[in-house]
Amino acid sequence: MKIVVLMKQTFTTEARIELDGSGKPNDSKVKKVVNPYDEFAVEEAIQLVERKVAEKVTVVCLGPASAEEALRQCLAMGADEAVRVDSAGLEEADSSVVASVLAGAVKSMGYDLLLAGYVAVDDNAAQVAVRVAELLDIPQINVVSKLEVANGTATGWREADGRTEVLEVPLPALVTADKSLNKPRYPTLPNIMKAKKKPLEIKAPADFGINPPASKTRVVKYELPPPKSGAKIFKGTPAEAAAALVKALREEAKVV
Amino acid sequence: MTVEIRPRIKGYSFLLEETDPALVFTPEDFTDEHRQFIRTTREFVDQEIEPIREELEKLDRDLLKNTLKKAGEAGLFMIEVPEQYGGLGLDLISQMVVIENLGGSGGFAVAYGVQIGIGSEPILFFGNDEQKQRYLPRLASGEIIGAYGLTEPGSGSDALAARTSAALSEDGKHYILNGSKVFISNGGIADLYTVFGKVNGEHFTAFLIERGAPGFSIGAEEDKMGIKSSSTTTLTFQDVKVPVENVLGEIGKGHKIALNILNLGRIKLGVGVGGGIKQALGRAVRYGIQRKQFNTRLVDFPLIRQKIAGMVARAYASESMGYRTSGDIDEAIRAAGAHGEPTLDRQLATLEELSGECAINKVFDSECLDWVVDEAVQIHGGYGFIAEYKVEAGYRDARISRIYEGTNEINRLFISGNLFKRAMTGRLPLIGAVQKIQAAVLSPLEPYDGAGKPLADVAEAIFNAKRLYLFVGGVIAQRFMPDMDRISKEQEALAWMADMVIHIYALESAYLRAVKRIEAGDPPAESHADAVRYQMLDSTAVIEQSARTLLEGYFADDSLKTNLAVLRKFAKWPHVNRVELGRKLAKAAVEAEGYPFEVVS
Repeated sequence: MKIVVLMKQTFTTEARIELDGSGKPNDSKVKKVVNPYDEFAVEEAIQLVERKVAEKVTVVCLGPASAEEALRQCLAMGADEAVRVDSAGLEEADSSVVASVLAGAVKSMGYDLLLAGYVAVDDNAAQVAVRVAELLDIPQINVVSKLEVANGTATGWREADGRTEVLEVPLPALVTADKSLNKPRYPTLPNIMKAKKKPLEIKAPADFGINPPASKTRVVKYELPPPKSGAKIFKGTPAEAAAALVKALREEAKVV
Repeated sequence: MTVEIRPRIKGYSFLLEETDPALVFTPEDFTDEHRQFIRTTREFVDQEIEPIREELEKLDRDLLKNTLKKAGEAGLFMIEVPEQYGGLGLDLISQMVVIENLGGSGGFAVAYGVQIGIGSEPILFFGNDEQKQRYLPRLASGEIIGAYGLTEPGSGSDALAARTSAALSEDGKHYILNGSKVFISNGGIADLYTVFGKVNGEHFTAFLIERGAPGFSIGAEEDKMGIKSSSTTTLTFQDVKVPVENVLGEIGKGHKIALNILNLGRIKLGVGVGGGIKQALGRAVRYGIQRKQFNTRLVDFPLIRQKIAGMVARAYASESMGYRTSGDIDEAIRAAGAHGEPTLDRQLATLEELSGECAINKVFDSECLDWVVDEAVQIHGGYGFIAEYKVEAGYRDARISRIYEGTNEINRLFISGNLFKRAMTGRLPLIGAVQKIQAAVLSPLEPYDGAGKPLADVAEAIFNAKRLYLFVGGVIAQRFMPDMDRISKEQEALAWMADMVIHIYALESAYLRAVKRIEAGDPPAESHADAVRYQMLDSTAVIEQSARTLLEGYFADDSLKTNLAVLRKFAKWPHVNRVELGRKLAKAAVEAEGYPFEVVS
């Protein structure tokens, strides 16, 4: 069984984003990592190989040359091979474009199971993976906290409104990871060295016969969140404080 | 043993010539693998050490052993061990990035340092193939833990005066060891001990002794001031039979092992300490951001900012120096091996060549660490005195660094004594340089040509500091020459001259790194320049004060006046506004919420 993991390189969650002169997030100043949710997907894929459910893990990423550092990390964790689809000319592409490129790529690469994080921590769109499944016309289970794969089916557990849903789909299928799925390993030093020798291919969309469509959305403007205003502490007896709070909510914040 | 070493890699040559920044290794030169090693090490600290820090501090030997095993599983012990013995066979820089990032982990860092250092290196460098096969793969994997027994109750700094004795058994199959060792790191948890003793009370020799050998007993844990999560015990040998196959190296050549291992130990300690400096700096800055007094964040008070600036400059100088020396050692080993594998003799000659630089790192870094942890406690105010805050442990953990791997006093004597020895034997062309300076003092000073150089003001200060050192060192040495014994008794002269050498090397290392950044056109190059200039204020002050104290100590009346006049001629430093510079440098640290020159997120 062959697993393909869709991976995105993102900002770290601690990164402090600044806008550059043209009003776009300044890429050069922030450190980048494997999208943490994709890391769960990579870990799950490696565990499936370790449990002898799958034979091979390929990680694919649409991104610039700098994304290879993230791919190397996935290889050092234990993935077998990596493919970077070059994003030249697609820097502004929206989720629909990214999904069509990735769908085309995995289609020509071949797969039995697609894994991905359910969301990327930079744009929080949660679009690409589900769109890939739709484009490939395969079933999907999203935001899973537990996954079992056996006998040509994938069974996923997902938390929903205080209950757990268990979904079973036939393979090939796509499954997206929630953060409770597993605890990603850190690469050991010998595996970091071995990863240097693992294949990392660089492709253009055209290599998969893909002609990327135009974006369906357009970013009008980026804005940084407003600076936090300080907290307000209401003093006095609990009754007085509660009364003052209600008054402030009504008159100052105008929310009640 | 003759080994060709490229000029820039000649020990102490930095005092006599300028170094090309392009040839200096800096953290910005880390490879992808180095960066990944750093991330793995940090993950290891976050996942395997931090959650159990309090338990580790109580020194649970099983927990410590178990955590070391996990470090072994992560491959953290494999770096320098050759591939044929189960390691990765990588260079010193690859090892240093891991040491640095474990450096803030108190006693665990010590246990780690022993395992990859004195616990493995004696076998790595001096073991025969059979000994290497027997022990290195298990040391590299963490299956066994190593320790090193040199210090005795009666011999610390005077290590070669050890009294542990070894006598060959009648059948010639064993050496019978008797004696005791103290302050043995990893003593209570190790499986393999490299122990020094004297064959027939005379020939200093190293032996490999396994835990459980009859007559070999391990004492109780010492109750230490800091690094409490590490194991430190006595070892006692009562008629312990050591098989002759377990003699390490040659009989009577144990000092070669002990001294050479020390050089590596000093540079590794220095880089590990650098990690501790950055950690304390980060904690102080982050605390100062969230703590408010008079409705103002602590980090917004100028006096706090100056403390932070002092921390950043020290961290920067220490880091720049550690990677410069390590890179030079790697380069020298590679150059020595250019016509085949670097042989043991070549590797040892390289380490000996740079032994002065290794000692410089040890002294400078451990004293910077003490200053930084002290100010980190100060920024925390009363909370810094409470064990719940991590700076309290950091303060205690720091103190040992000035004591072990050779006290800083011994290291200072070594830095100058070793330098004089090389000058006297012509190994280092110091005397010619001194004569040139002395000939020049009567005529107008040759100006420094810094035209077109980045940071030309700093370059000139370094140039002047070197001239001042050569002048002061020269006039003092001449008072005692050619009697080397006499000067070796003038400990003040040796130590204060060492202070000048240490600060010249530290400042120059920081300068070379900043120039490299400026020439690369990196956006934060300006902050690099700020760090160097702040360090320059402190380093030039130490250099000038040491020079003055030396002259006042060894000259009087007219000769003192003349020499002080020369001192004033050389002691020319650029004017720097510490108020503005300190505030600006600290701002960079506040924005970065810690050390602003971190190259890996």
